[in-house]
Amino acid sequence: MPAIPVWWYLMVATGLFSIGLYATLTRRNAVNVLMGVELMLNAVNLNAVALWRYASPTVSATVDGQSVQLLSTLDGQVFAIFVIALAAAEAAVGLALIIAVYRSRRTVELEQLDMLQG
Amino acid sequence: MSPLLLQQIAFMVLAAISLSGAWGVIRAHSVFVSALWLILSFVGVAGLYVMLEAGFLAVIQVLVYVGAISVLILFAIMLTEDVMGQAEPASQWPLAVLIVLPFFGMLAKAAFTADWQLSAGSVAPPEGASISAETAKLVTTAIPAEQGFRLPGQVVMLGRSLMTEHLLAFEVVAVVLLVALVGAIVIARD
Repeated sequence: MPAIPVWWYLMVATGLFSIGLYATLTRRNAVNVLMGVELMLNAVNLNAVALWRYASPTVSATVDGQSVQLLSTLDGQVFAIFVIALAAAEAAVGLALIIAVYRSRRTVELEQLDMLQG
Repeated sequence: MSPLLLQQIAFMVLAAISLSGAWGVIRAHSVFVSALWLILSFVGVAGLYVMLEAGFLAVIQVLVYVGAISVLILFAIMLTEDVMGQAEPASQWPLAVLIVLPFFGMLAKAAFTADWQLSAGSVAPPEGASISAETAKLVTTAIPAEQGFRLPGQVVMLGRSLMTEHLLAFEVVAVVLLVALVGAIVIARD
């Protein structure tokens, strides 16, 4: 029995995701909305790594005469690394867009960005 | 104190750090302070990665999120507005609470009740999933299973995994990063 049940991690991830969702839904400032998205991505990563650690198949191996149980894959971590890389790309492009919008409109309030409204 | 209890206390502290950081993001009264709380939350999540024996990921988290993305966000704030300006009151918050609370309840119930098929030593090795003695040597040097496996071996395994079975995704992400880099420069300059 591991010291920490897996659902503790899942609960933390759920809390992070919900707070991120709330920030994304309520904030008017575009930068704040982006922060909410980052929080949600963090929650997803935490979930992936927790389930990788607790629920991926194990392999028995004998090393130096001792029998050990190894996790047979690192897929959860690989997934998290890809998510982090894409989050970095998303943050760079998103913030560049915010700066470009600020140049032309002098605001980053999402409610005032209504150029496409008929 | 038993190591078990110590682990649980460490988990509680790290979870409190990451959740209070996230709470600070939505409660802070200026965008700049929000960003600082966000950094705290990222650090807490990095600590949770360490607890999950994903040390390399914790380092990546600190480098990319705490180091790069936070600085990017702080720069964006400083380039776009009056840094210490008052944040506007959150709009439409009752509606958002109405969406977020049931969502949270649903996920929490799922996390609590689902049968996760945990592999805590009970799963038989999958067919054909054998690892070479050489790899096993890298992964662990006689560390019993319940103590987990060593970090350096894990990093080697991770590198191999990226360059073999996940090679296509790895290359695609590399191209996406390059395009995002060029695109961000093109968009941000006049």
